[in-house]
Amino acid sequence: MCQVHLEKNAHCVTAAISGEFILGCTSEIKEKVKNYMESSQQYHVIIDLSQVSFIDSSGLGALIAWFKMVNQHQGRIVFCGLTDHVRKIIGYAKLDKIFTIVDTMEEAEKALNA
Amino acid sequence: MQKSNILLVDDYEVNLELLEAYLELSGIPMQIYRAYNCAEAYACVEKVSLDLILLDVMLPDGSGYDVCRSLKGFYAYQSIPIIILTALNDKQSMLEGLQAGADEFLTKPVDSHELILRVKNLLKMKAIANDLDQRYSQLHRELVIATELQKSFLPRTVPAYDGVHLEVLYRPSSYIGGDFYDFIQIDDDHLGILICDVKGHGVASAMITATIKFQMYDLRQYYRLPDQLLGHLNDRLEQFFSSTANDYFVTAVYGVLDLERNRFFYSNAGHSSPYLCGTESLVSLENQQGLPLGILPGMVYDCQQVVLQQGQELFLYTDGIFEIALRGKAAKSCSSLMDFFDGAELPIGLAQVHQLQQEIRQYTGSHQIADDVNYIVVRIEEQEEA
Repeated sequence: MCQVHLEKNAHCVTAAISGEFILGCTSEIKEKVKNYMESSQQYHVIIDLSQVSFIDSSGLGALIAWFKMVNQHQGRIVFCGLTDHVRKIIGYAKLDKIFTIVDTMEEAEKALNA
Repeated sequence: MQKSNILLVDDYEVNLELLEAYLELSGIPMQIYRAYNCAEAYACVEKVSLDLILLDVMLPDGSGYDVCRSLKGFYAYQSIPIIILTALNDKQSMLEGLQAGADEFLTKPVDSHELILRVKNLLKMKAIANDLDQRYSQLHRELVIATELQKSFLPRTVPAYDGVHLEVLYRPSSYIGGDFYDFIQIDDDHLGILICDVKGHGVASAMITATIKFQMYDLRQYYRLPDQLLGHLNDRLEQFFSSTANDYFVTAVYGVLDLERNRFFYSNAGHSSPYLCGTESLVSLENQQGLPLGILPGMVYDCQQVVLQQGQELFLYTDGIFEIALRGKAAKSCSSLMDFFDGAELPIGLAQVHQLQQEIRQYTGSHQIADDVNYIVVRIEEQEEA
């Protein structure tokens, strides 16, 4: 099971994902986050992955879809709190070359405003 | 309107006559079949495509509940609605019938209006189930055709050369897969090798493999330049995905095998690293750059070269192999061969890799798999001393 908790403030949207981010739940969560960005017209986004225990290629696909969407709207996206497993999978797909990845929420907020 | 096939099961002739008379009153176009016991009921179910069964509980050779239970346990028969007829107007027998999977109950003596209403309702449900079944079969037939089409994109044969042996395993998961490979004979001494994995599933992934096949041909001027080829392929796929599915991406390795000098000149776009395996060595062919294809335009790929010695093997694969290799093991994922052999004490080499390949061949030969599995082995044969 996988869930997403969405929040926003004046500066950004935060999407905290938890559970196994894998085929079966990714498309629903992908849409939720996308719709939330659209309805709040906010394309500065923090994706909190600290509670994600497992990710597969379909999960990576969702991260890429958000990344592309944010770029299209001249926004910024920061990924934070990666567990070892998630960090490894993102690294193998070389996505760490284009993603902004930080450890904590504070660093994420800083990175968004940099 | 098509006639509904209705089976009446009761050991008393009088009851059957009565039910039949009631049903005829309804005006529903139907063909009625009769069974006087369980055995005849089963025989009829096998012979006729039924739309409804009216089933008495007490039969000479068994109970109606058992007939109901066993029919509902068969995939082919479970959508046939069953009305259980019972003289026992108590909660216990109703619960037993529900447990057996019955759709409706009628207590004897049967009220003709109630009978007709329940029969009509269940026939309507059955018609919807039939319609779904038909659509599913149609979809299934189309998927089978798509599978055949996709097979036609794959190389028909594995090239064979003196001194260089190639081996391929390709097993799509269900019907059609997102894994794809190709061999391109550039000239007598150069073979282009592509292995890729479209991330995403089902029909769309398969259609993307068709696009890759087409784009590869269109980019044939770059066959000798892996980094250029992947760079252009990346831009075209990025454009293609941006107008269709933006969560799709493709990992790929493309390389040119120089058959004269046993060199492999390759680029990697986010794909699992190929491996060079020797008797007691296993070396990962890492690349510095190389984002998967289709994410960002203008990506630059680097190109590297490895020389294969006699007796060594080059192993290219998609990550589906790990799902098989890891089944039943504690680790839930691994993304490279090195990861997989992590912790093994012996020097890892060809023996271990061959064992893994054999395991994959055996398993995929006899099991349904969740992810596509594809690997390519290039072996430089050992030359006899002159």
